[in-house]
Amino acid sequence: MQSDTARLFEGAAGGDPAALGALLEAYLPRLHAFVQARLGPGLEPRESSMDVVQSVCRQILATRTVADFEGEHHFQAWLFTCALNKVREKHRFHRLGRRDVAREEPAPLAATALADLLTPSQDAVGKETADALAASLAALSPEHREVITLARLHGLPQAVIAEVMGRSEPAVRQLLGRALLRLTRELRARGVAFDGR
Amino acid sequence: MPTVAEPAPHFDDELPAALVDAAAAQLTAIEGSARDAVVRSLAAAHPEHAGALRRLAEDLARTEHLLAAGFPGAAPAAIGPYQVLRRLGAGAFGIVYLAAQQQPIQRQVAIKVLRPGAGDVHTLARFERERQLLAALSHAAIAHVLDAGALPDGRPYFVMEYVDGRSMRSYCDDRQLTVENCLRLFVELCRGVEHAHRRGIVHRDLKPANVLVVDGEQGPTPKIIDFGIAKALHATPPGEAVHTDTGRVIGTPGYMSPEQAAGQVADVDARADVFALGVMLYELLTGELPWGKRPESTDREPPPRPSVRVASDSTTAARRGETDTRRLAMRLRGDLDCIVLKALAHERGHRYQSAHELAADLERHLRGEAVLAQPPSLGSRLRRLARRRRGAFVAAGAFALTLASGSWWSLHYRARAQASESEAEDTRQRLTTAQDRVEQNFGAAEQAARSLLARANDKRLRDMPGTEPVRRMLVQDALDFYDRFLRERPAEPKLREGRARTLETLSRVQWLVGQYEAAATTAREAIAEAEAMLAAAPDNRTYRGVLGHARGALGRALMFSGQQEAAREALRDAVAVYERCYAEDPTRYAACLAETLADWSSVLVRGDDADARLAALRRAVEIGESFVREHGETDADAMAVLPRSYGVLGMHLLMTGNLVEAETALRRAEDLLASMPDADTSQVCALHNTMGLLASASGDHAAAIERYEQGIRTAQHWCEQDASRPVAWQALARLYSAVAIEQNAIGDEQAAADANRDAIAASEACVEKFPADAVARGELAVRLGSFAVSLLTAGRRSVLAEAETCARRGISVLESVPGAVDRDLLLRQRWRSFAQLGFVLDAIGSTDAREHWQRTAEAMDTYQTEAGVTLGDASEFVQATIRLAWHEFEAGLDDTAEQRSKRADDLMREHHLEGRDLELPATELARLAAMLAARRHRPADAAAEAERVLSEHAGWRGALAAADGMRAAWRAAVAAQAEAAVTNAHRDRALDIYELAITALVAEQAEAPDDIWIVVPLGQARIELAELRIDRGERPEAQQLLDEALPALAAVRDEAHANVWDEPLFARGRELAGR
Repeated sequence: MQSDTARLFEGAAGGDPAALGALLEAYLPRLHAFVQARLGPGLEPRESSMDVVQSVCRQILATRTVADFEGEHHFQAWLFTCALNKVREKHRFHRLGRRDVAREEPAPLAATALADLLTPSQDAVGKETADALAASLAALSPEHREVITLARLHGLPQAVIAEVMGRSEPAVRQLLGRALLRLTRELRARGVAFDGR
Repeated sequence: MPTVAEPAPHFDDELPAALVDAAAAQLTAIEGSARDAVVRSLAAAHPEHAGALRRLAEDLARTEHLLAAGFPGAAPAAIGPYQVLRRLGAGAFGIVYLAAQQQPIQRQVAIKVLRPGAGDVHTLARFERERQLLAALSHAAIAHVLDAGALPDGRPYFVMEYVDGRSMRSYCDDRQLTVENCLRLFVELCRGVEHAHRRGIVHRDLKPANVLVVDGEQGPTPKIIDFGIAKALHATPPGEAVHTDTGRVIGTPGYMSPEQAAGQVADVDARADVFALGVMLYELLTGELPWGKRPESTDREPPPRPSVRVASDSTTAARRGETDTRRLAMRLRGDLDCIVLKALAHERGHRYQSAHELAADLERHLRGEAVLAQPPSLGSRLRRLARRRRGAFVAAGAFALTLASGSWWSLHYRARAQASESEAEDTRQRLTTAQDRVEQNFGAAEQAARSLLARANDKRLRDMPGTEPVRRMLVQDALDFYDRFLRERPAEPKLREGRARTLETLSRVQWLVGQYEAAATTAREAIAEAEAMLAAAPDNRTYRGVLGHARGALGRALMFSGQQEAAREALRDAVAVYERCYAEDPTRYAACLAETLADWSSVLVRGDDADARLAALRRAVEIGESFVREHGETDADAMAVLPRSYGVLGMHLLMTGNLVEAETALRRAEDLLASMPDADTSQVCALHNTMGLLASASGDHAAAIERYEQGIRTAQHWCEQDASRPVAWQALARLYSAVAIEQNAIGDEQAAADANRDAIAASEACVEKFPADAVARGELAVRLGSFAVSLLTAGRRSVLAEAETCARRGISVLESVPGAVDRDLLLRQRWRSFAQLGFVLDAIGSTDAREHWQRTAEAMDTYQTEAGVTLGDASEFVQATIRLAWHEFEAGLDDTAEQRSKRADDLMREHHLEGRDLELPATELARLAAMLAARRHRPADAAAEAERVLSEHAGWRGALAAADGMRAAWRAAVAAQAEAAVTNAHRDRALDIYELAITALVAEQAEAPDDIWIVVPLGQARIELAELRIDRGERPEAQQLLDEALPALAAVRDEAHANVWDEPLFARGRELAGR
């Protein structure tokens, strides 16, 4: 896919509207998952997350051309940052309108959304592990949670994460390494077995 | 989920924080084998930390595995060369994505990414081997595995053909597929599984989620996904339990076989898939899992039969396109129950040994053939339940059936054949062009008309179900010709003959489709024509033959419209005509004569008809056999008559108690039918029915049920194949009814009730389809009434409401029978329906009972004087008569009661009742006679009556009746202030006989501990005995009897209905105990 989206990106950059459409479509599932994880259940995730994704797409179609971006990573970063901003707006809107969904930390992954996402995957890892995973992630600092989410759950390249998080790439790598180690410790503390020991 | 018991050493304990940081940062940027290189180079730089570094890398990978598996929202952008479109779902093994393949062709594929731990490098290697085998799988019902690989993080994935379908169950439910269509789809599924099994591949995780249905060009097709993957994943060494690292057993709870659940991987073979198929079939048919979600290994008991399961849930029926639950239950009962349970056998050796066997049995069922699966539990069920029966008015058993038996063997239409409907239509087209020539050429026209008629009468067409409309057209065309020509040349004899023949044929066609009234009218017209011809040429054999045919047609039409009396005459006349024809031309008329004799015999049902009936049947058989002797088994028509004649003869012999000869006759019928390639379905049904009756009469209820069930299978198939004939539905209903009687006989009330409901459902279906069919309505009334009565046999109150509803419905259905039906038939069912309600009202203890019985008495009197009691209903009539006599006795009408008893006694003698049909009424009559004598202050007569019944009927019934009679004699003697010697003699004798009765009842109770009809009489006998002992001054013995009797009675007091319960006696017992 990497090569496919790269080809599509080139096509779009060359002014092919069909290629742009296909490119956006290719990113849609990931973008959607990204937004969904950030909105949480308090914000009617299904409808709202699609709204956000559509709004991101509209914005790029209305205000930017793909040629504005220096390479696909840049484009990807813009895409996810734009989505992140929209999510922040949504949270702000809701915080103003409805006290109960107010959060200190609107933008990063909401712990509740995380827990929500973990539920179906009990199928895959079993309930105990799923619970441990949810609790471990919730125990992380917001930064650690964010970097893990972007890197491992949304599979964004580190270059993109760097842009989204406003850090350098080496800093992201360092942050991610620490975050994963922290998570490993949290998991082990919750009784999750690590191979052979 | 295994957890560690003690704290594990980990990298943090050994590694300097800076090294941890650096290592983690480097590792997070790369994946897969590149990580190994990084670890190696770090280890080379820090050899003292090599182990800890490796553990750090492993732990990080493990954490990332868990993250990847734990977050279903996180779809990878691409998997290998496939572009991920979206997530399809998650399962035990991992997550499934929809992805797009670009090369070599553009298509959508499904990719299953295994969760961490589900597979590793070895798995993949194993899968690679397995893939060689899987490549050989090529079946429409199996989704192909296209590719496999590993993600950068090491998770293996499998690429499969993408099946855009729905799970089988939701597909079947949403489309409301009928049972047949579900089964056809399911057979396809079995064929797919079979295909894999033949190549040594077992699925191991068959379940609805793994079977999708797609709508293809050839209709819906099932697609099995994930084939072979379970095996690739779990090629655990033999003997080792199959567990994943999370401790979960492979397979899905609810669907996995007992051997899988027990973790015996060495035992998991194709039969595990058969088990899973069984579960799926069960679920498909009932909407529920056989054992719920419990692990089967703990449950060796078979699940509830599907037919029983659906009965508790009305929603399944709607999903299967059935209008009600009972009809679905009926559909499932028998074959399908057996097939499903066989597939679900706990021991794999008892299951179908392959998916092929399962599919083959399902196909046999779909074709209406006997299936291999047989109810395994029937024998044991019988051992458990076999016991003698009890209760009033159930003995009717065999006779309730024989009532219908007259027409049983007359459900005669000949064997099916291979001619196609379109072929018939072709002929018609060809022949109608002859019409053009008609105007110029009378000869040709006449020829054309004859050919039309010949074509309509062609055996192949005649015998093929569903061709009646075509035949009717052919016949109508021929008739039009004749009518037109006759207007021009009224005196032409050839035309009159042709017209008469045509009318006769038309009548038969009308008969076949249940238009009996029309058939009779047409037949009368044919008779008039034939008689006119004969009058002009008395010696013309051909004309005589036509007359015989026409009269026979009239007789059959009348018989089926229920006009038995008129049918008797018409058939008698037909026989007379044919006898003359036969004398002149035996070869040509053998079949006609034998058939008409058999028809005639089936309406000779009155008490005084027995000899004529037997003679007619013996003659029919004799004619048939002599034909076979002369011509061999060549002529299909003649041959078809012979088994039927034997069948009716066997039935007659059976009804007159000649079981040995009956069996001989029936075996001959069976052999003949077996030797006929196109044996007539109706005859096969009739034979099963009669054989069942024979087995029942011989006391072998298991064999009887088996026979009836064979008949049911045949009849079900007949109904499906040939839905345009009421007789098929009637046959089905009768066979169900017969099963109910046998189930009652062996004490399985639940099964009996089920069968009765099936019978009613089949009858209702018949009335619905053929609203004008009087016989269908009459039969529905019969079914409702007999069900009502059979509900009484358990002796329990709880079913009385349903019984009353049924009985009342029976009466109202009967009132809706179209008027033109034979009065005899109506009169008979009228008193029966009334009596049936009467018994129900008695059981309820209704105050309306007496008044209702008065109305019943009128109906019975009318029937007896105007129609006459027949062999078929004598037993029931006698029982109803005795019940009436009791009501009269209780009302103080002693003389009326006595006269009525006398009539009952006469009928019993007249119809030679035997066995249970005799014992029950005879003991009741004796008891009543003793009571009457006692009330008339004739203790000696009462005592004599008691002694007589005791000597004639050895069972507990006889003893109890005798004891009651003797006790009445004692009371009467005391009241008459007879000498002490006399009273004491009566008392002591009564005492002895009660002891006798109690001993017999106790023995009976050992066999049937919960039988109210035993428990209550036993308790009552003990109370009576206690009273006698008190009179003799034996207080302690009396107390002991009461201590036994009263708690047992009290325990059933709330359940027992009024036919069995005697409240005053119970109160007396309590009073005695209280003194």
